[in-house]
Amino acid sequence: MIRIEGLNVRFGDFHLRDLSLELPAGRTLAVLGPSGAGKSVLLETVMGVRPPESGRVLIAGVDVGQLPPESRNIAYIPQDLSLFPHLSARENILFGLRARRRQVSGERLEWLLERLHLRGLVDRADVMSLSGGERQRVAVARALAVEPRVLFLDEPFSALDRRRRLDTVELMRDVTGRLNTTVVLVTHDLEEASALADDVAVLLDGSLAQHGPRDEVFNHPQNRRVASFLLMTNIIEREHLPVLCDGTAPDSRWIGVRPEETVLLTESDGRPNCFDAVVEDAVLLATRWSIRFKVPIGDRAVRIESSLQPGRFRVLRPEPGKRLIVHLPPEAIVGLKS
Amino acid sequence: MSETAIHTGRAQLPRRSFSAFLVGGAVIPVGTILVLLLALISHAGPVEPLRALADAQVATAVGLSLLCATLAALLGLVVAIPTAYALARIPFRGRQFVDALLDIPVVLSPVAIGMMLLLAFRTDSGTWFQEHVMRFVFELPGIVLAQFIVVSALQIRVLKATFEEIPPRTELVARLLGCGPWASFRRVTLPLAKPGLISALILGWGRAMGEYGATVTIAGAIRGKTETIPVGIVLNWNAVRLEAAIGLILVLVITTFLVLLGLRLVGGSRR
Repeated sequence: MIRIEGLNVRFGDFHLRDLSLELPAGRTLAVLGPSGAGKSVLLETVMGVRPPESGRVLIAGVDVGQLPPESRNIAYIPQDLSLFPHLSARENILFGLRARRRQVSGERLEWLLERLHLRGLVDRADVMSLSGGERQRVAVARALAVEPRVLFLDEPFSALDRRRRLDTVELMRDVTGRLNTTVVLVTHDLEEASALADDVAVLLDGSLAQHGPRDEVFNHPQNRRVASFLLMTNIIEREHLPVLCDGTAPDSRWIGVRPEETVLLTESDGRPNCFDAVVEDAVLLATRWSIRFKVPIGDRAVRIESSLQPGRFRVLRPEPGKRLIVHLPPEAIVGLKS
Repeated sequence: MSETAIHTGRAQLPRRSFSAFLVGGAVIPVGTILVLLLALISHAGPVEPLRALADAQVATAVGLSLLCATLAALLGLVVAIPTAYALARIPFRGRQFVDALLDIPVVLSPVAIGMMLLLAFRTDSGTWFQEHVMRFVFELPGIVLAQFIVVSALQIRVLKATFEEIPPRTELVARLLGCGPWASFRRVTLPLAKPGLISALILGWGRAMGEYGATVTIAGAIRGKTETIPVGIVLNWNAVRLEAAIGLILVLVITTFLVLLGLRLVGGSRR
């Protein structure tokens, strides 16, 4: 549905470099990256706000390079939603249909109102009096009412609390899935991206660092920078820690292991990759504990982070200075390029 | 206990003196205006100025002021809307230069603007324009032109701030939903700028009503022809027709006050 070929965009000192990717119809792509990676520049270029230096953007096979934003048949939900405060909820939802002088498809509209739980809210005159979640759903209905070829989401859930955010992401997944809408989500939130996306593109410093199916990218980051961005915090030089891999990690110089994949034992049980470790500190991160270990190897020390559920934490009591065994399952070890 | 007492004592003293500072400060400007108004009314009494307003010449001055100020404010708005929007939205080379240039009529003495206009109409092309298109010097269009120059600069300031407050993203969403640039401007930008547009209209109108310097320089002070309220005040004052002058001042004070009150009500409803 959307194909980007060799896109180069310059904006001040920033340069979005030679970006190419493809997204088939009906799939959801999360463009992930830290602030300043070029996510917004990419979005603005695809939407027709920023001209590219070179390269092409094709939507449904059509090169949209010369088309103004209104002719690209795409919809956009920005971070602040940009609801029109001078219009009622209903007028907001119908805005695009009226702008395109298109007949209101009653069936689709009714379906959207029903699915997005908007039936009771649609006659609200002051759209700004709606709650954060309700406004979110009005913005989604407004965007989807026009049957866009691609729906662009720019961190639209960031203002919501976690519970509401995940509920909205779930609702979004359900609605766009049923309508077979192609979605591009731009975010730096890994949870949001993994909950909504089929494919993931990681953008770092203006370059596409990795692109592929979500699980592939999350579980097998190609290099240290992608791994680090995807919170694979244990990135270790192989010569410092003699580990056995199960073959999925090639002979790379660096390896990565997610803290959640590490296993803590009170004593070694003969499994490979068991290392004596000393607890340095333990921090509670809302629902789980993050434990930092020092693993002495010869005259060096390697640091490993482990993640523990509260129940397991109570059993192991990893206080600073305590000795435990850290096991790195071979199947969880990923080889990383420099 | 003693710590609390010391703390409370210290906190209360500056608070009281700060309130006295604020109230004391505010009494002076408010009091000054009230004293001026009372002096105005006590000098002529309420009846004489009202009677003077029935005078044909005075009524003409009021009518002329209302007509010219309305025309100048509306024309100013027509020009200020695109100018302010361009300054607020479009990054072009020399924007700072244009911005500063447009501020000149706001800060320049109106008499200087009037003289510059007069000099412009004395050039060859200015004379040709007067002879073949429209006469401005010592004519009614001259009043509107002088007021328009002063007023539109002010309106551009107000509207630039208004447009800058509207997030460009909102307009982009409208564009992507299918609006062309005109439709997005008409259906989203202008409705969102409505309080600013009303403010600019009222402020411009009020400023035009009180304009004297530029008007009298380009259009002169011709009784019954180019005599606006401020010009009328000076003419009546010079002719020692105090009641008529005071009547005109009252008209100006009341309309200005209503304009400024309206401006605040619009601003209040916006917040």
